[in-house]
Amino acid sequence: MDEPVVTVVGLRVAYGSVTVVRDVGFDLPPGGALCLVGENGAGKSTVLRCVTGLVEPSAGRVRVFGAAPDGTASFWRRVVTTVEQPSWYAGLTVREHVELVRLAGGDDPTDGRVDELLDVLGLNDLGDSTPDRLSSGERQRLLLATALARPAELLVLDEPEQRLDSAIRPVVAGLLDEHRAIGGSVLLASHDPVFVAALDCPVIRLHSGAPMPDDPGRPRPDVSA
Amino acid sequence: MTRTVEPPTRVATQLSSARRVRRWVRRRRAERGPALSLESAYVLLLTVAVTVAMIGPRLGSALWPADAAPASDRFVVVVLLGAGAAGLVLLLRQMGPLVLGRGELTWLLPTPVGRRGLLLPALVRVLAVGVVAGAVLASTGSARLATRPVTGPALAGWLVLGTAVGVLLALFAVAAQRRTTYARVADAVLPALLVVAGATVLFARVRALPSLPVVTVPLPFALAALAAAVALTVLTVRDLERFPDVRLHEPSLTVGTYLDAAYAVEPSFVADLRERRYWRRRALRSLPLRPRRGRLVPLQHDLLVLRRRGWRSGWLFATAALPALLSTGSDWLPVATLVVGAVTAAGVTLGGLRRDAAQPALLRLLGLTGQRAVAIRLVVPAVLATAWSGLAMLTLGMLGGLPPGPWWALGVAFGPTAAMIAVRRAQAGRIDNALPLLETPMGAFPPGPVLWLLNGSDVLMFAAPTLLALLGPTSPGWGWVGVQAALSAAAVLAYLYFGVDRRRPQV
Repeated sequence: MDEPVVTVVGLRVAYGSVTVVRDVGFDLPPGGALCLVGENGAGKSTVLRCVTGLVEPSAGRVRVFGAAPDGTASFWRRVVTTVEQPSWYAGLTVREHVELVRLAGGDDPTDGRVDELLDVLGLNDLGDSTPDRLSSGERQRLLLATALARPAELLVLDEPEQRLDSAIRPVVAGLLDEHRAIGGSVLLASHDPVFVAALDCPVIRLHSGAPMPDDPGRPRPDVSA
Repeated sequence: MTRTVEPPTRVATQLSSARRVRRWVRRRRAERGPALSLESAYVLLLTVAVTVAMIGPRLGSALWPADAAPASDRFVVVVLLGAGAAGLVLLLRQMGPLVLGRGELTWLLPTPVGRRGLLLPALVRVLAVGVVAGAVLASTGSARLATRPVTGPALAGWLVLGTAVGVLLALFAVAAQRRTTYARVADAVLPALLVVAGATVLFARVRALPSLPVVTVPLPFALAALAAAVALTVLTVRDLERFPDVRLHEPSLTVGTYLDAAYAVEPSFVADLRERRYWRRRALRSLPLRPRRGRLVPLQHDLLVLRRRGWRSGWLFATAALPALLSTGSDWLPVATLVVGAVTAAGVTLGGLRRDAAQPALLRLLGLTGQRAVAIRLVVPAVLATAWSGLAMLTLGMLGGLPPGPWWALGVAFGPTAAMIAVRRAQAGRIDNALPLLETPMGAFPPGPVLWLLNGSDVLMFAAPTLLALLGPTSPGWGWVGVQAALSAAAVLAYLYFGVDRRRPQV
């Protein structure tokens, strides 16, 4: 059996005396998808931040491609995340941002993929605009376009459906399916049951930082203890 | 029964009085405590007293020297007075000049409060600036151009003319805020006038300019100018009622950000705002990146930004004459101007690095290490700083009264060090206000702003040959140039090796 892309065991995150994530554990196989759901403050984004190495766990173990997420450039060449809203470059257009990311990923920005993404995500007419001028929903679409513009083995997406029109949500779900179809993995947090159902993937339901007991992704024994 | 819904708009009602609304707000605020605490008043008074004690005597002798200017210098004095007037209008344009506080902008502008009453205090402030600046220019002019000793009526003529011109310039700035045609003319012509004035002053150092006789200002002429200023002020006040909201929002928010930056001691607010405003006004057209240069992605980005700034960056090179212009004052002034100018030139394309330093999410998407990103993003700043400092030192060597030597080459060798300073400053991010306060005999002060200000100044030790040659002044040989070039290379390599992250996308 292939080694999991992401392994989380007995994850706990505390800020001071407040524990925001406890006893979370799961495996994400190559080509698989896993969705974290739960109300605001349930700890979904914190788990994603731990997986991407942006937050250090207070206890537990996180492995991505068999190693701790170290935040090196080679790690980020395999992993793409949208858990943080980027600060867009001044003086570059929407299209140029997507092309820049595609070129940095080692691909040809003129091979048609950028056009395809802008078209599918409804950004074609906004190609010459600058990100500062976009609405919040359009900026979210741009963020997804940049995330999907370069090769990645693992996508870590924080509420990718957020601020999107209902018409564009199935399109995003389709793009994530395509990513899985070619062997990529997806770990995401979501608030939208319809979007989650469209992805047809296992779900971990978090409540106050811990998985709900009847969940298929229930906690595994903490091997680090 | 209590009514909870207001009836539809009452059309024929009178406009509310801005004065009455402001008085109401002032009274409510006064009930919550004084606007200025004793501590703030003490700091303010101390700052003013220290500033006056430090620069007062020198400023006084600069404004009113012991003797009038010789006939051969009078033309330059007139040119400088004109430059001062142009600078005043540009400064007023930068500040609005008609602006409202954030509270009034949000709560009073979109209400049926009389616009004239709302804007009148702002207009009075602008006119006061015009009057003071005009009077200062007039007294400076009379001290140099009038017959000594300057008689009371002669000085009165100058002052009346100066204040009238100051008011007219302030009114022109207000008109330019309202009408885009005036704004376009002002923004194109006035900087050009400043460049011409600077070039004239430099030209006067190599060729004698025409002599001018003693200048007298006939009082009737000054009074006529004052009458014109008063008449135009009345017309402007009358037209305030129709001043468009759209012309008030942006300058008011800009000045609000300046005040925030001053209050929070956070200059990065202003840099961010100015950058966003600059690009928001531009209509861009996407240009294709070159696939073969994929490894140099940030360089393509910087070149694109530089290309888009285009001729606007040209103005920066016009300022390369500033160190030479200022070489008649203190020894340190041209040196400071050289460093600040070269660092500013290097900063033209450093917006990307500033954003990566503040939030590296895009850098993670690009998958670049901090070292690689900084090394590539250093290329354009190094070229710009090298070109600027080479030009500045060439002018300084020719017109700055320095001993002969390859000054231009020393400037070229200094360029990369200036670019390093700019990169360090771009990476510095925001001021660290979490540092513990330092106790001094005059009270506690936070060290964060001082440390922020000094950020990058340590790199100046790599500029020792240039600084020593200028401060000496000592004639620099080619050996000096070689040492400076070696030190610049050492500064860049040391920083890239030890100063940035070599593994993670973090700058």
